[in-house]
Amino acid sequence: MLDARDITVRFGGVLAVDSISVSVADGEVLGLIGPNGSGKSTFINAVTGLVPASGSMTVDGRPVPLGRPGAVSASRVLRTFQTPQVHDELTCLENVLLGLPDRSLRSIGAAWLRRRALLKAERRRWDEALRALDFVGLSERAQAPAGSLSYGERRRLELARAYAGRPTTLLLDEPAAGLNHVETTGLVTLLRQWRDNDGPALLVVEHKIDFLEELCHRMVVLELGKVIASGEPAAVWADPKVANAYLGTVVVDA
Amino acid sequence: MSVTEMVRQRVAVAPPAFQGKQFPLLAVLVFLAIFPPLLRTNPYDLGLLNNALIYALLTLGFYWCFALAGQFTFAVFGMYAIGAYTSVWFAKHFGGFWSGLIAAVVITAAVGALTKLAFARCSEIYFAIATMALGSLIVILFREWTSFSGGYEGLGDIPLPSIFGYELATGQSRYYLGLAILALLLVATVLFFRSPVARDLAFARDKGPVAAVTGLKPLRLQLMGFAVGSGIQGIAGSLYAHGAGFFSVEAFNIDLSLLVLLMLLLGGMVSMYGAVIGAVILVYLPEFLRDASKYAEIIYALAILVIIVAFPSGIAGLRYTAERLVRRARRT
Amino acid sequence: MERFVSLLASGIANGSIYALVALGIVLLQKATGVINFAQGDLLTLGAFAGFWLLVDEGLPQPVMFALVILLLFAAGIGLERIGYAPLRGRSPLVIVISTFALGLGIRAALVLWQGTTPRDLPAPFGGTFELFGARIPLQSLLIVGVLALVGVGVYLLFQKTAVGRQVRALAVDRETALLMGIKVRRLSPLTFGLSAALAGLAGVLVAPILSVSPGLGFGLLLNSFAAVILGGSERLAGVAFAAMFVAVVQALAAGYVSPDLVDAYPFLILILVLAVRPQGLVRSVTGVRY
Repeated sequence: MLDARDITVRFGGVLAVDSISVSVADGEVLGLIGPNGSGKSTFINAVTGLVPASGSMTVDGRPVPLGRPGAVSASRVLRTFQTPQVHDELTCLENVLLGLPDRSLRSIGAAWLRRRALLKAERRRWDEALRALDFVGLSERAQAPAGSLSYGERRRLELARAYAGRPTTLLLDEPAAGLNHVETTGLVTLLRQWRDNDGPALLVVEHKIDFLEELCHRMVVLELGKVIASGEPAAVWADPKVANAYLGTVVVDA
Repeated sequence: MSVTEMVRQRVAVAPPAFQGKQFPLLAVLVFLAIFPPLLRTNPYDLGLLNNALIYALLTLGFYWCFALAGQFTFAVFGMYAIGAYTSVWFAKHFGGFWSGLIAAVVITAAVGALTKLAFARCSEIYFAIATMALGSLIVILFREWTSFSGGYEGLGDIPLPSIFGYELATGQSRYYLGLAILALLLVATVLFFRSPVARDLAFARDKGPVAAVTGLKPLRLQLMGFAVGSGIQGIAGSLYAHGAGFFSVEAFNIDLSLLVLLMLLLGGMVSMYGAVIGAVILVYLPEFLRDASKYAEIIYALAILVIIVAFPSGIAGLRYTAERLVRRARRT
Repeated sequence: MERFVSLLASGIANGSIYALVALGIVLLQKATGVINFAQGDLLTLGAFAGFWLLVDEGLPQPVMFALVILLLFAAGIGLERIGYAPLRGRSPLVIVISTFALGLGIRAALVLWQGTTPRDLPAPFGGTFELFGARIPLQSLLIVGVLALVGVGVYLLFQKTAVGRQVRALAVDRETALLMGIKVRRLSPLTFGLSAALAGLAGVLVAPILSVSPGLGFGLLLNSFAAVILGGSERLAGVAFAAMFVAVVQALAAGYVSPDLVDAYPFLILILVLAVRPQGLVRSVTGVRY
């Protein structure tokens, strides 16, 4: 559960995000939409601490400071990126292992002095990572370097890493971008499966309307850094302000 | 995939780093390295061998800082100097060579960590500039602090390393000491690769912000790598000092950093053996090109350029260079 | 008092040298994004070339100055062809390593050509003048004067010429500038040449004061970096003033604190600035520490 209030991001003189408040409840899927440049990705960057921002945020009831990616991920808020961010030279398994929350014996000291315990913990982690890969359907490619994957597979790999991290809130930045119709449907199924099985609260930034319609309980629309509409999908689509933001006003000659 | 298949696969699901045969390879190489000082016993050749060892250590330290932790540093010559001077001081005032060696490692690792921490927010290039200034400052410090370092007059009467009271007075015995230390550090590097730290560090190095939101601590990981690398450079300094018997501050200047860089580039940044390969080649090459020794620096300068342009993966990475050429040939 | 004035004067003269070198560095950085680690060695090259032209070949001073500028301009273009053009598109660090290696090459070539014994270049105007009781070499005046001229010249270049506008465009937003058709391939040899000429000019100006040895320029490089980082590469005037500041602090500290540490003071300033405010002192840039 994530509650962000009055998030403001300034780049030089430009106000990219203007005092936005957004919250996602447990088990909810929130769609964040808006035309290009409306501040959607910047909002996610602000919440996850990658750009300096002002405002406040609580996760599962506890306050989390802005601007500290470590604190954000420690409160089980994870994210994916517009372009899948995986390490090309590591294998799929290793990529997923990076996201595991079990941080025991992952230091250099452990590598040199506590090998036995380390290998035991590692075997446990390899198992868990494999299960995450299995969830997204990539277990056959566990030993393949991530660089050899197709674009759609890289998206799934990034999702597997997030899945392995057992988040309570997951922010997805355009997860369906670049996917064809089949892949998009597959992604929707995956997310639905996850949602129905004790999944995290989801905040999805997306452009594809069919994707959002099938998943979201609620939607928030941004334009130029401000919230212009929010509510159930049907109501949002009907809102003339939303159409205006995307398409511009239609001038009818009287 | 069925459960039985997954269980059956469990044995094979280790990441590649855990499955390689790194230790047998290392053992073979160390074994082979035992023979050279038995075949060439005159002091000059032994001196060359020891030189190669010391440079291999220095370059291995640089490999940790640059290739593993991802942080380019010019300060190698400064860490080398700190290692040498602190080792001698501790050896003379505390408890012989071993206390000096330990002091050298600890102090250079600490200085390395402080350096990385102090300039953590700098861009790559500004960090490089900072380390250039830092290395120069360190040498100036030793140049002026003559009571500690002897300045230009140098330090002599340096205690020889000794094991259980037996002094390592010959070049041969010091070679085996150096070889043992290098082998130990290579083992430590292999253990590093066969552990989760290696992939965490790679991710932190190559995709810092993403690593941070994934729950890793990129700064801490890079600090560790940089500190280990600096410590290894300190070890090289200590071995140099106790093997040389005498040295002065003139031994330390930035050309050393350039040489180490060339060694790693030549040997190949893709593997820890690149450090050793590069060191061996560049210590022995001048022996074969005696008449061209005047042109040594120009050759080094051009070599760096050629390698960067044409063979960025060095000798250890010739496979990658070959693959790249094949791919390019296929396209045309 | 005379001591203070004479230290101040030598600081200002040195600062002008650092400023000339730093201007070359900043000019190149704005146009190509490259920081040239061979800039110091280009200064040395200029000094040696001046020595050769003036003393060995017996040419008059103005001719020597002009020729050195031309020669170094050519050297800069050569540097661009060998050390930059083959590496276009690689990371900035790789190019830094390349220029660093080429700087070493220049230094080594100079050792081969002229040997390592330090030489003295005769000044165009010998003698000193008096200011508040201190004797100040006329050369210092010349150096400051040249810097002022160069400063004005560079300013006019940037503001009034097409080349200058293109460089400014590249500095502000490289991608857009490239999309708008600015011919970088023609611009970069030009800016390398100009930047090298500035270094060469600094070389012949400083040679009468310091003795000319192959390591001369490289020793000054970090001092100029201190000026670049302190001054921020936004405003050229800022860099010049920063250079003055570094050199004056250096001179005063050497005079009143400890002369043995004279080469250390600029390094200390550099390290302090980079540790405390790595973006330089000019702009406030956002960044997150994780």
